[in-house]
Amino acid sequence: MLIRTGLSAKMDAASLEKIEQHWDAAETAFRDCVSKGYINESLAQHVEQLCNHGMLPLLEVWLLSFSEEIITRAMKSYFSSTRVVEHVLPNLQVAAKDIRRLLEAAGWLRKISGGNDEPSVDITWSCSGHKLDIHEEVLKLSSRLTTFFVTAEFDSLMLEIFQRSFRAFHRTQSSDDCSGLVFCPGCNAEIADDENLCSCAAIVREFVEINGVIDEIGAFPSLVHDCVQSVCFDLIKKHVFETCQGDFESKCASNLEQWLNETVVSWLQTISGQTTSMISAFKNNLLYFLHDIFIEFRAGQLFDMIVDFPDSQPALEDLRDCIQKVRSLDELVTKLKQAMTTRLFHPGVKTADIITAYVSTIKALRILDPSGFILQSICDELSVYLKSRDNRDNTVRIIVSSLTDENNVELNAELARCAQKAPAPGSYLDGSSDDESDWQNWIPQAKVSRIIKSSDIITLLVNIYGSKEVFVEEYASLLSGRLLNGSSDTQKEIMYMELLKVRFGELAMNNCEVMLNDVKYSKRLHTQIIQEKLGEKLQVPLDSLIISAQFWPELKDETMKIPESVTGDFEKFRKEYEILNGNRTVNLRPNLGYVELELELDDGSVKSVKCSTAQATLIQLFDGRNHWKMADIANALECSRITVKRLVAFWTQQGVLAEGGAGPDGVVVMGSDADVGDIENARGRRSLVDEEMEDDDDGNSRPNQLQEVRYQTFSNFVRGLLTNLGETPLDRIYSMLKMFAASSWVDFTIQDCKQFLDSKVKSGDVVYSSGLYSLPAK
Amino acid sequence: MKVKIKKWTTVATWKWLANDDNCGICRMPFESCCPDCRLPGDGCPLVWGKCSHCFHMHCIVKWIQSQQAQQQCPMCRQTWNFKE
Amino acid sequence: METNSSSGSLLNKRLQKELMSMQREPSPGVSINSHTLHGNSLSQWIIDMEGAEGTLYEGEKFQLLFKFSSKYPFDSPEVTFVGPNIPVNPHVYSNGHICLSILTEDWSPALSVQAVCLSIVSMLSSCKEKKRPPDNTLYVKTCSKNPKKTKWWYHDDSV
Repeated sequence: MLIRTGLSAKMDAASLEKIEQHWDAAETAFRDCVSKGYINESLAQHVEQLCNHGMLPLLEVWLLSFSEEIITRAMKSYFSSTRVVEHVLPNLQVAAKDIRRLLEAAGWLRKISGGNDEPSVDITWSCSGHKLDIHEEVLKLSSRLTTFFVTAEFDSLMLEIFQRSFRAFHRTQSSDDCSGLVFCPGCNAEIADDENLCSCAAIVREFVEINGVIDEIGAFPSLVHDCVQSVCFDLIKKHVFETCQGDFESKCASNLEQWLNETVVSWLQTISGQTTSMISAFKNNLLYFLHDIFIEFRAGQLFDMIVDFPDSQPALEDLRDCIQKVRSLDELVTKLKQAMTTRLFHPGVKTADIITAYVSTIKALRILDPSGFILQSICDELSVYLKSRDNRDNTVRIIVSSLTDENNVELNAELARCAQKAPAPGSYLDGSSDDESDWQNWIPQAKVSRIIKSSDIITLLVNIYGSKEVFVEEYASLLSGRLLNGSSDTQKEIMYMELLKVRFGELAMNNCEVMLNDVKYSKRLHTQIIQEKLGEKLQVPLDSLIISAQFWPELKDETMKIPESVTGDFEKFRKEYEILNGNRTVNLRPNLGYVELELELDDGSVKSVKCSTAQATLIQLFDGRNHWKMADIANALECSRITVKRLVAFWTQQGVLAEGGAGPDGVVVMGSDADVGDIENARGRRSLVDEEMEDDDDGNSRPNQLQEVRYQTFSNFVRGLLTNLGETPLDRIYSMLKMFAASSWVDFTIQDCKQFLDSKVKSGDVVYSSGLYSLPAK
Repeated sequence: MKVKIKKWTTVATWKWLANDDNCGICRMPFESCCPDCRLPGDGCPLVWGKCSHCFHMHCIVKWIQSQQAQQQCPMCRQTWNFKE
Repeated sequence: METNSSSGSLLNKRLQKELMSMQREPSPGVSINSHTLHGNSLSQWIIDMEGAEGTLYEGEKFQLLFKFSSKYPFDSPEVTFVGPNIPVNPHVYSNGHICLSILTEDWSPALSVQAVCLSIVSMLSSCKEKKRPPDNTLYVKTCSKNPKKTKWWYHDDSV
């Protein structure tokens, strides 16, 4: 026996025998307690004796193993015998009887041993100072064993009881009138004839009783927790979905919390009776779940909230508060990304709308998540998408034009506001710049986080493209377009430039500054030369924009015929210019510029048109002559028929000319004596032409031109490089080109390089073989 | 139909009347400006030497100041004299 | 500080242009060793050079090291032969230093890397006998690391 082996070293046979007697008596006392339900107090002295010998721990261990035996038997038989809801309580009473007695026995042991908590010093195997509450231990054991033996079948029984009792509870609590109902909404009993048949109160009573017993035997967490949880969770879910649908203009999280307290928690308190500590822990769980379900629900609506911004601000703040209370943002981000992918990131959405959504996203997420975490992952996603989209220059163009578009109140205001406080240095992902110390300190993507947190919206928009250079280049090209077709207001342009200077620095805006300076200087020349010197000597009302070609974006260089009256007048201008500016001259770019015309049609109506120089030159041919053949126009203008067709298309669109009016190759002035074709026909053709024109005017051609110009320079460079190096791998070419391109194409990637080389391979200028590029053998 | 020109805005590029395209010192186009300047033309003018070579004024002045002994044209090594 | 940064930008702009033109219109027997250009700094270049056909150096390969100060192009680059093969020539010391007037007092900002390389190729090509300068041993023992610090007396004014 354990006792013998433990003590034999220290005790003589007589005292051992004595102890064994005590032990047997104590054991009997405990067994009787459980089987007969009473404790023989006279046996208490045996327990005391054992305790005096420091054998309390052993006694406790024995009691625990005895308890295990009893509880296991009770629970096993309880779970196997309980198959229907009606048996839950009666069977539980039976099973609880043994456990209750065990607890009683444990309580008794605790009481007796209470005065002898100092173990004898000579008992070496006594746990050093360790004291356990045997009653508590038995409870725990009961709880553990219940958890261990509980079956899925029993779980579903409990759930049923809970759901039923919850309905019944609400029925008893509410003051709704039930008369007239056939079935009670709480217990489903037929109450049409007699309301007293309603068993709600009985159900609740039984339920409270069950809970009482379960709690008493320590099985509450294992038997009830899951049920309460699932009942409550269902309830909460349903309520959240019902109350938060589609309303972003008010906060509802606090209402939800209040509802939880008033309804769910009060129910819990009622059913569980004394187990309040359990309830308060449980209440926190429920609150957590409430927030969780609310966030999950709102996360699915986040994209709609962004679209509705700023009306959705209350809902966003609501969500933010919940998030702070509860958890990580991963799920929110995932859901928002999903929504963006399905609703924003597809070809059907206009770039301008994406930009607008992006701006709203930034503003909304700033409220939602001050840490910037969500914003950063969304920004990354968005910029990857925008970059992958058709052509990025187009996107930059849209951003730039919306920045300076007075109708776009949002971004415009943003620009003006941001100009007041310059961005912190380094807030752009700088590409190379003119400062040598700068281009070595290129800032990598990893710093985005800081930028996201601290920058304004424009900076974030600009950073979609990774560098301000791309952005500024695009601005310059837009500015150039406006200045060259006379659609700009110089005062405003200067103002915008000053604003952009504050943002991007003087150096970056230098080209734009020179461009605007050219405009200013040209105005002075207009006064000094055209007004003061030439005046009456001119045939046409001439104006001239003298530009510093090096600072303007690449301009199309076309030879084109314009009226001799204009070239003649320009010659006069040139001579005066050379006199005024020694050692300098000016070269006319006939295809650039714009013309304001007044057309007097044969019916006496007058039409004012602003058009390009080529369009003006063409329409000049029709001065006093209403009919031309295409071929003759091409001869007169010294250009291709395709060009003629395009120019004619402009005038048909204006309703001035009609194609095919007199014979297949003819062009006539609309409504003139030469116009014999039927107008409808001409109109039909016109709309066709319109479409072609739109394609042409789209502006998509320009970025491609830019690309072409770059590629042309690259071609020469690569030819030289391959001549020098022979066969060269991609990365080598890339690193050379990158250095070369550092100032003109900041975000030149290895993919760009490969694409470029592949186009050269296609055109036969470069040969690609086993990973190496080379020039074709001559 | 009668076509009346109300205003014809021509666009022209200005150019220095020089015997070369680029400044021999900074290698930038004459119509651009030297690396120290922002505005071309009057902002960064050209100067001619008696030897008929020309440079951005700022470039040649910098070169002349950096020479201790004789002041030569970078292109032809003749003694540098500004053309009057 | 201001002047420093602006001359720095001139240095880079000009070297970038020179690099471009050397890649676009390479001269025979002279090429930039692109390995040495990694690291985004243009202040040192290595040029691979081949001895011209029909000269004493035909078939030989040399390497030139160009170092540019921040005053370039107003200040001449420091140019030396480096690597395993230093040409044996009356104007080239065995430590790689080159006795060539355009590298010091006859420097002009109108010159370029390409022009310097061509001068060196032609200096080698005009050589009639492969030998070291007469004062080679003494010079190599006593000279500064930087050839530009040497007060040269030019052996042959025709070069």
